[in-house]
Amino acid sequence: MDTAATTDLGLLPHYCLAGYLLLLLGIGLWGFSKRQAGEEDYYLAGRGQGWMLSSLTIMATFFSSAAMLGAPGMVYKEGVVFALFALNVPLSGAMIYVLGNRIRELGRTHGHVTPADLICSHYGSPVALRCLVALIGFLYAVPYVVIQIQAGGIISSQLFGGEHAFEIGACLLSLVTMLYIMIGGMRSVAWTDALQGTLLMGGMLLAGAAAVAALGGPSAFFAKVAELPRTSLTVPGTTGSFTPEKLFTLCIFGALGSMIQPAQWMRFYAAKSAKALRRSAVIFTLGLTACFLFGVMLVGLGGQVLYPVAKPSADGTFEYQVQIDGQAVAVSEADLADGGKPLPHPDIGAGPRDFDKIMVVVLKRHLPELLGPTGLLLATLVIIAIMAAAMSTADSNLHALSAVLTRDIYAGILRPNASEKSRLWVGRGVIAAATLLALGMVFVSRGSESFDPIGMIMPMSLLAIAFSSQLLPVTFDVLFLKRGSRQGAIVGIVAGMLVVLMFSPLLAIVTGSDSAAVGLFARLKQIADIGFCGVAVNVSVFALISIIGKRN
Amino acid sequence: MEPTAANPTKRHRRLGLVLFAVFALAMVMGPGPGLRLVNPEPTAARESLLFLGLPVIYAWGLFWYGVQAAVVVTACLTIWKPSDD
Repeated sequence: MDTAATTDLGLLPHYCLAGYLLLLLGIGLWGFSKRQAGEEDYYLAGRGQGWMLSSLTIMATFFSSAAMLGAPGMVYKEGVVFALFALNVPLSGAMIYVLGNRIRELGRTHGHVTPADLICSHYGSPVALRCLVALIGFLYAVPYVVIQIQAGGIISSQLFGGEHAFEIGACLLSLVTMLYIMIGGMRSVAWTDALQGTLLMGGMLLAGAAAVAALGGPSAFFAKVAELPRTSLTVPGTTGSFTPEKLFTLCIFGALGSMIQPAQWMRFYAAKSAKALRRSAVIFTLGLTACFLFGVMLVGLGGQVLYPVAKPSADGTFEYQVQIDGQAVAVSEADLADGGKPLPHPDIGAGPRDFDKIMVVVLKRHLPELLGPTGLLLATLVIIAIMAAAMSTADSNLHALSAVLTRDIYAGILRPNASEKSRLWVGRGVIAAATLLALGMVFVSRGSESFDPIGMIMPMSLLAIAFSSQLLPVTFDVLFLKRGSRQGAIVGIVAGMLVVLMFSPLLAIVTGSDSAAVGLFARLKQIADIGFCGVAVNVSVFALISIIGKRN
Repeated sequence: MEPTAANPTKRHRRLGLVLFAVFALAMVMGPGPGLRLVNPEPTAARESLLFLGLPVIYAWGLFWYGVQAAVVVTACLTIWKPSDD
């Protein structure tokens, strides 16, 4: 069965998507009509967001295509072990208050807008540290925006089909997102996030319910799941990638890194009160984790039953398909656990990165089968919710990137005397330039066999989080310890970022994909999370230089 | 000294440490090395992969999610409250 054989949704997706995009642009215009003069209003909506808006915008920024496509894709590929990654969400929730409230208080007192404002005012480093913090913001935001645009393309190609559906979807998502951020700033971003957050929470739970219902209800679902290959039901998963130690470091640094990235940091500044962040922390912890555990993770697990990745052999073991030199080759479970790259079921896709499509395929085929015309409508709405997840993360990151590059680099270093009006226009220019850059990267990656910096959605997201995790040591020092030195902070961040870069595709591009260095870092990646490796080096260097500096 | 309403800071500090310890335990046990305690051996019978009909490591995750959620709700109702504006 190919994609064309899936349920035809007719023109319904066209109408729903058009209505949704028009609504977003309307919110953008509404945000513009409510604007007040000044940077603080454009970037932080006047620091007046209440608990409902704060919780929804923080959740929508956290939710991305990684949550809606990448997480079920990973469960579909690796099995139930990846569902436990959802346990990073309560830690993120707790950080909304523990870190967020202190950031909010300092921001309000001193008029901070970006992360660099707070960190640099503490260490008294107007240039070097500011550049580094801005660079981290850039390295987090650009890959994250790239993968959201890619997700928009995937959804469009699944929803509409046709030769250029991917390109049209990616361009449409980018253009509409860019427009409403440029028009209305934080107020528009937060209100569109509120709409998108509501839509995608409902979408996540509905997707899980669809997967369970497609297999005949909860009892039948888990009875069929129990027959999956042993590696799908145990640790370290199908390919042997997720040892408990790796999963542990991934959860810790995934949670902390995604909560101190610039877009979330600015949401803490924008919160009206401690109460707003306190309530947001609880809503985030209870609601979002449930959406993962009882929603999208079940789609991945049900996907393994509906679209098996492995075929049972006569001796009771399972056989997988892997891609070697462009050809599909059958291998045993044991061979796969040594780090092979399995292929999904042919109905899902033909390449190793097509696991991410499981969510859309399950929704598009099984909801209409179960519920008829209502199912058609619900499938369309949930698929649009996935697009909402991509757009809400892209808008927050583009908006934060605009603040970081304009305030920290343009006004902080290049033109300190620039007027507020010129800064706002530069900020809008940054949004347009970053959107076009991200869109260009998506198309280059898609059109080239040899250059593929994006790969699957989830690994790319984790690399971006690893970069933002390099702000953790200085953030904890600024907020709690207050013992580090400026030199220690600078050298620590540089060391941490270099370590993370070693894990990126850059190393393979520079040294060749079969070099010893690439092999070494690939082995390290099997043991622990990339962010953890970077932070371990970062903290050690930061502490050492701070201690040496104080003794001298 | 017994914690009373008159010395909330000390009481909250103690409660904060307890909550931190429980949350850290949940992180270590849920998605961390504690998983090895329940992860079935490669040679174990197929029934040992399940607990109450659910994959055992999924059930393990749900339990520790409950612990994490309880810690955050308790912190919200107790130690985080006094700093409200």
